[in-house]
Amino acid sequence: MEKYILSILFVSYIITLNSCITEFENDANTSDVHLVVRCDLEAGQHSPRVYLSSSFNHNSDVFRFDDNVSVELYEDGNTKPIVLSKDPFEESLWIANDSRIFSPGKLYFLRIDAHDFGFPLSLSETSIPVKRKASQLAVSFKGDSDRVEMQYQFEKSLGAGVFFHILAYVKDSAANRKYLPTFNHSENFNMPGILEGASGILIDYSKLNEDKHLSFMTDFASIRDNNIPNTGYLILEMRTVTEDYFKYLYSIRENNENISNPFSLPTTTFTNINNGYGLFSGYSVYRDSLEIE
Amino acid sequence: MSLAKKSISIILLSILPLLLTGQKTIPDEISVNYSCEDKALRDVLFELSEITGVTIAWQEQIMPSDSAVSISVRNEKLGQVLSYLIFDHGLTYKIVGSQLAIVKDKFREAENYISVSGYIKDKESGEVLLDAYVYSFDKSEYSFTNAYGFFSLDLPKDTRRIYASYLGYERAAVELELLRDTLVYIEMNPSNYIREIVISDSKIKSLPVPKTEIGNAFQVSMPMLNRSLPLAGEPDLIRNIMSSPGVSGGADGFGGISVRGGSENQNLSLLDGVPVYNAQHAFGLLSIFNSSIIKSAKLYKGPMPAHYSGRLSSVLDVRTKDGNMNEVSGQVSLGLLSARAFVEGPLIKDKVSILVSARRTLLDPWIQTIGDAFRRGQDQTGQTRFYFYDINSKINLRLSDKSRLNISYYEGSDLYDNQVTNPSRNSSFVFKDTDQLFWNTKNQLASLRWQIQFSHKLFLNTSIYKSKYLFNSFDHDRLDVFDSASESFLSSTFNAYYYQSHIDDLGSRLEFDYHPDTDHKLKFGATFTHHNFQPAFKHTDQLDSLKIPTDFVVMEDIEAIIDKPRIISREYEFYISDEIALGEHARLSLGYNHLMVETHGQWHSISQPRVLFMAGSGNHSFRFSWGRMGQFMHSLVNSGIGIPFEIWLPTTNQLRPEQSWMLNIGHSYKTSAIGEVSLDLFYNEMKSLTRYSNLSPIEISSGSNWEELLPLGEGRSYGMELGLRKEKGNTLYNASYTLSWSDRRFDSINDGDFFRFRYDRRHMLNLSLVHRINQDIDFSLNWQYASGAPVTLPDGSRYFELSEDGMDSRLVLVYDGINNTELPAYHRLDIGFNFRSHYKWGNTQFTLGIYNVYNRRNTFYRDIQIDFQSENYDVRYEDVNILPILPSVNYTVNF
Repeated sequence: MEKYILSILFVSYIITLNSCITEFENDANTSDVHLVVRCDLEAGQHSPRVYLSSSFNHNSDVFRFDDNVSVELYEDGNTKPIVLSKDPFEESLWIANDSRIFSPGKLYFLRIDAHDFGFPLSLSETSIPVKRKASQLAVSFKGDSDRVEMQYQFEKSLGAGVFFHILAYVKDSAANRKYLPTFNHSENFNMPGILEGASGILIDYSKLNEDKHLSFMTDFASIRDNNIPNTGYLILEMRTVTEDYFKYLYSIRENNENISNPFSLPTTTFTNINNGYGLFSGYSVYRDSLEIE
Repeated sequence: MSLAKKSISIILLSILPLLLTGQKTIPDEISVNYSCEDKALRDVLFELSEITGVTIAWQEQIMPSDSAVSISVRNEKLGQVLSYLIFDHGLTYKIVGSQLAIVKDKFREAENYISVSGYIKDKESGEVLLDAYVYSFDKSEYSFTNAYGFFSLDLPKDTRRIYASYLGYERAAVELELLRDTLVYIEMNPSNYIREIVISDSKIKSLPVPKTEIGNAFQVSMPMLNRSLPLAGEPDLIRNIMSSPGVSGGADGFGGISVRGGSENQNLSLLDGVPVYNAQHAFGLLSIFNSSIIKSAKLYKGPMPAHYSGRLSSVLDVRTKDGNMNEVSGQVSLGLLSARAFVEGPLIKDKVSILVSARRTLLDPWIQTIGDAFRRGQDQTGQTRFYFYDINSKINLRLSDKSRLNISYYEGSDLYDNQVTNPSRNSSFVFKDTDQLFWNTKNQLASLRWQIQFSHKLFLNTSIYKSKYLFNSFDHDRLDVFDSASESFLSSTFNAYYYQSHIDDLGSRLEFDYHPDTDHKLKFGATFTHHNFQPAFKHTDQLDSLKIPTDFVVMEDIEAIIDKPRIISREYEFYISDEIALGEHARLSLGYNHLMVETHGQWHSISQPRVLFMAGSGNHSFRFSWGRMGQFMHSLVNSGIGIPFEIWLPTTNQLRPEQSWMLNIGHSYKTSAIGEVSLDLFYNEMKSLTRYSNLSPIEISSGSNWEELLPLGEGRSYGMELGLRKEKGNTLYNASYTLSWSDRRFDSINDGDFFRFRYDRRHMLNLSLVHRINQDIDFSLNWQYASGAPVTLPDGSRYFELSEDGMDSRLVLVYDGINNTELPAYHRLDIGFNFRSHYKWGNTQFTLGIYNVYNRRNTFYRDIQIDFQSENYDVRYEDVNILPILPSVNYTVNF
């Protein structure tokens, strides 16, 4: 009899434990919202442009900011800020007309105060890297001429902390840029620090092969019949960018691409915006062009 | 006075003359003039000491109390006089400085001990029994059989009987006449079921101090395994192991096991001593070990004996039957999932035996038919294939009383191929959505083993083996857009992944067991393995049109363009350990294992010290173990929970060997009221761990530098395991609880912060009982609970990436960390009945079980869905459950 009572108690214990279990419910649609910022300062240019938006969740839309947001840009050593104001034509754009040229090697600070909308003060800092040039070695059209292979030789002793972003584009009949898918075509497929795709190639120079030689291809097929003139120029833009710029684009692309990659972890995106998401960065650019038919 | 007897008696009568002269006189060469009659020996020694001025010391307990001496010497050396006086009592003396110490004569003592070696085997089948306990009457001398049934004992000459005990067998006693070193065969009778599960309270009380194997070994009871609750009618070793403390599985047991917070690739599975790279069938739902032919299975977790190495977390050592030497016997079993059969018997009675077994799924036609019907209902087309099989064969030759030869072969394979094409349309276009998953694994193992007993103290097992593992998978999702007007597909998008892991090992191993005396058991040996790796991984999509020539990508397209690397590694292992008896109640094992590997001309080595200690008295026992583990094999596994993809990689210049330090402290207590309670605390630190990085897309091919892209990180796990086992009447109760933590850190992941490991389960509880209703019917019940597995999910916020021209581009989900949340808790209840019938020709067993009785919808994986139709792109989760309530039946015939 004792053993049956013990067994009944045992089963009862299991049922009791089972009823005590609380299910975890993850509410994926509520969380704090933050500012989303994008500002790239190009060396040699003036008139900064800051794009401003916000994150959102189930209960809140993307914020539409008005003039009550203060956006200021500071140059190191100059206490007078460049004050940006809202562009009357473009909803999320803040602009300024200022004669100060953005110079390589200098530090810049961005301050965004949107407390009227409940956001804490956002601060960020960047510098503009010195332009580094790569020599074009060869250009060749492949197959049906939709593909172009280009080979570039980088300087061999730049050291660590140098990053590049290579973009290829053509201009449509309205002079808008149409970026082309660009692929690493070096012998070493997995050259560290390189990402391929429609947004160009990102390169961590320190991880290039010893010969610092890069070969890549770009493909016109995706932009055919898309208001592209039959003749014109393929523009190759070789940007020397900051590490923050590299990390931001890299992580954004990981965040997207890793969702479908079973071997990868979901990725936290990089940001250098205090109390927000996005990027404040600078770059120097070298452009090359190639006549196409 | 008694204290005085126990202490060392030092007689200091006359040393001054020697000290005064300052001469270095050898004490036993001093001349003596002495005579006496019928005087007690110790009095004579006192007087000799007094006469010569040499201190003579002895331990009271070695001196005979009733010895009378008569002697008369003139000008004789003291040493000769002493020898004459004490020789008959088994004593001798040694010089200690200027003194003489009387001690037991070990050489003559040894003559009073006889070496007894032999084998313990099943009386019915002739199978040797592993880890059987053999001991003298008072249990002062004992040993265990090794993996080949061999034992060696040093017993006093007057020993008349030794005993052997083994789980599931009646205790055996062997009468001995120990006049010389002896070889014995002990045959044990399998016990009936009642004795397998019922241990009376009085027996618990009589259990000796722990004479179990030193180390953290979990010995699986084979009788209980074959009566365990089956999933789909299939009793399974690894699912059985999952109920032991510290072992957790993936979702619903898929994807392998984690031992004490380690990853699945840190568990070494050995089938008859040969490494198996994939021990799973059906994506981890079942193991490759056919329960019908398993003779012994042990899981070592924590620091393990020095003869095991190669993985950080655990070793599962599975030994299969050798084949019945006496008569033909076998088994046929039919379950819902598969059928299995084996037959064994003598080719030459008592000389040569053979065993053949096979197992295969029977579901193929059903899967295709049900799949077709399902697809028709959904207006889909496609095909589904699934099967697995395994074959074991073994020939066992008894070359002599002291020598055996085994030849064995194993082959097993899994294949899953599913392709579904789903047409759909919206207002503008007609779509064709195609999903394809091809998944194929194959293991082949072959070995030749020779065991020889060189003497009563020295045993050798030598083996040559080949282990081959093949894994290929192709995962392809495709969306084709059909334009009705032009009656053609305008564009296609696809993602295709190709995985390959091929390993071809050729190895040889020498294992010596040497028992120099009762207090020492030495193991030493060496292993050489030649590894040939061919890993590959490639992702491609529509943007890769530059590299993929065809429109509809098939696996062969990728295989054709990927240049698979071939990496040769040579691995060397040397080990030595000594298990030392520290009195009757404690044992200490000191071991050292040295691993070396050479890849691309680069050498790596790992030193692995191991210390295992066990002590006990009465109902208490204490254990401690500490050591270092190393492994040269890395593996990449998919980070998500689901069908496992695993690619094995060798140590290279960039991928350094994985290492861990492990510590375990445990205590067990036996009581008739509660049963046996055990508590273990463990702490592990791991380094040079790897995983797939966040970089994408990485290609593993001979042209890529994938080694540089795989991050190396560290990990740690710690926790507590509590076990309870109570046997009362006809019922056996088992409970285990584990509280543990496990996390990982990589510089390039999660901002370099520690994050929860995917097998980090805070609480795990397992409760089970087996009740024998009558002689032929028993009832089992098992309930498992585990905290939910960690997963990475968005924190709820998202934003559109702002491109440099301010345009909204990609939607970015915000994650506040890796494995930042967890799935719902896992739990389920299983019940089962076994009904046995006995016939003249054998017996049958009918098993009826219900898996997941209350139909708990345990989450297999959680899919993230973004609702692009909703205003704010709401994120929804879709939980996938795959093992609902499942009744199962199994019918087994033993003959």
